[in-house]
Amino acid sequence: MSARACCGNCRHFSNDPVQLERALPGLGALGSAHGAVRDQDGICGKHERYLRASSVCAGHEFTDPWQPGFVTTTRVYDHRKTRSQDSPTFKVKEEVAHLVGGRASGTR
Amino acid sequence: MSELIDRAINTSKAETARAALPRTEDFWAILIGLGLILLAVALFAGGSSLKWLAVAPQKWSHAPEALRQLRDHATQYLALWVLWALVLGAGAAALGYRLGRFLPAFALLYLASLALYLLGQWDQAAHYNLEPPLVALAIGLLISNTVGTPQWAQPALRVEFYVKTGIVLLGASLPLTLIAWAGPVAIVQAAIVSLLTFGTIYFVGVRLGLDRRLAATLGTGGAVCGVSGAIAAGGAVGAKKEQVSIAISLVILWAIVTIFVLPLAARALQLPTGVAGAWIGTSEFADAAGLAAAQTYGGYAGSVAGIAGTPEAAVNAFTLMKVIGRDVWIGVWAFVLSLIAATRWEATGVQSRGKAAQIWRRFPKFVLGFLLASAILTLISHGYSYAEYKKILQPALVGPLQVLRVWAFTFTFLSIGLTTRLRELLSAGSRPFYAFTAGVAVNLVVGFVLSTQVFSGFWASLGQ
Repeated sequence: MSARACCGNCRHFSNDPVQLERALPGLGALGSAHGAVRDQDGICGKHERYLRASSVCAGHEFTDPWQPGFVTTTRVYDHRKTRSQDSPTFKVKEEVAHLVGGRASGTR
Repeated sequence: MSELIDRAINTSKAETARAALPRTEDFWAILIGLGLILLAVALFAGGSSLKWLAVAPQKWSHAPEALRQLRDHATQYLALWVLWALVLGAGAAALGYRLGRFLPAFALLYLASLALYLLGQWDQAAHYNLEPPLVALAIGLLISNTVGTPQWAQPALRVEFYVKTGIVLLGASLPLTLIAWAGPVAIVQAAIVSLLTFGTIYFVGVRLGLDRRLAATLGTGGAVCGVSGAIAAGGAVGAKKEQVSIAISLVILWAIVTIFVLPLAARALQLPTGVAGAWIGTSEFADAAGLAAAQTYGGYAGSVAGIAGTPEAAVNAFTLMKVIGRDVWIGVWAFVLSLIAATRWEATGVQSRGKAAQIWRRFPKFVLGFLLASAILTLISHGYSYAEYKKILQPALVGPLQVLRVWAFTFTFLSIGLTTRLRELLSAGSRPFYAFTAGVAVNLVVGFVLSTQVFSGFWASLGQ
């Protein structure tokens, strides 16, 4: 089984709420990127469009799961939170590190 | 490597679905609002009250009186700051803001809110049109657009977080029976206005040559729930980034204008508070902006001759109209628009499947907190006569929660002005501006006719 490509795991896509509020002036004034109505939408840097995380295009490129801001199908993890040993990203890094031969997690 | 990524994605996806909700303002607004309500209920059940902690300035005539109030209740104001700092700070931290940056900024916001709250209690405030929401907005706009809001203050300026918390608390003073009685009327009125407003903006926009995605994003922003509507529709149809920016700018621009215009127009027409609240709820574009306008108008009751109804009626009618009538449908709008965009409009090179699941995912979940708060208080007040409710429940249980709600809304009103930079809103372009303005005109007129003619008796009775 191969991973289903979608904007949520594409390196061109960003849906970090703080970054979104910076990228869309006024969003934080009478709205918010932290609200439920946004779902997991974000900005695609390749197409310069505001898209749902489940969208996909021919230019999709998987993000690097080693990076602190690892992107899943549904959200970008805040690197501050990924330090937590309970976070999915940390577990994934641990597992990947083990499988590829002992590279310490988080120390690429 | 593909297998590893797949494993990573599958692991993360499952855990993220559970983890995403606590990172939304809706979740924290519900947690804080209901937490405060349950605390008040527990104290009430134990023969005590939240009254000591829910401190608020009282009416005053001369400055020394106001200063004496502050001095006498200094410990309570400090305790209230600690309470807000704890609960809002926890929420802000969960949303990714550093507590160390949030707390000093929030301390300043709290002090400014206290000053505004105190100003609103001056017995000459209405005479000089010094309604706290408008003063908060004017001062905030002035600072933000002249010297600029300091960067260190930004983490505490969370308009939506505060307004959602305030709306959940508002549920405690609205009986569930009233919501059930007024809800259907609100939904019918909102549906008529929303469809007409969306249709106007969309068709005028397309006639003016705007891209359909921009026209739809503008239309949803004007018809449903302002900035939230614009970003939900923008994401659903895959709008360009600058198109979402344009829609946000126009929504804010008109929302700010109508905060000032709607209460003044309603005042000139001497509309009852319930009727004016319904008009504001139908025609304002954002929850926070509308509450500023509704609370301003409610403040005229009893202090401006010829305005019938209670101050609460304006806020209640607004909330029923805006939250129940308009906000809850955003997921449906987004779903329908995503289907149309995917099947009928020109391709963008990005494929997006419109799934019905987004109706729930985009549902403004703080509304559930509002309804739950109403249900809790309705259950508790069951068995009390109206006289007993006024004598026992109102001062010991509902009153303190109303005070906390006013605090939350005051944080909101200050944050609106301090985060709105008008320069950023003036680059929308003329065609989107004309399309949106056409929708504003239809919205205002139809909202006025429905609130003051078709359903006027209904909305006026809210204030009885």
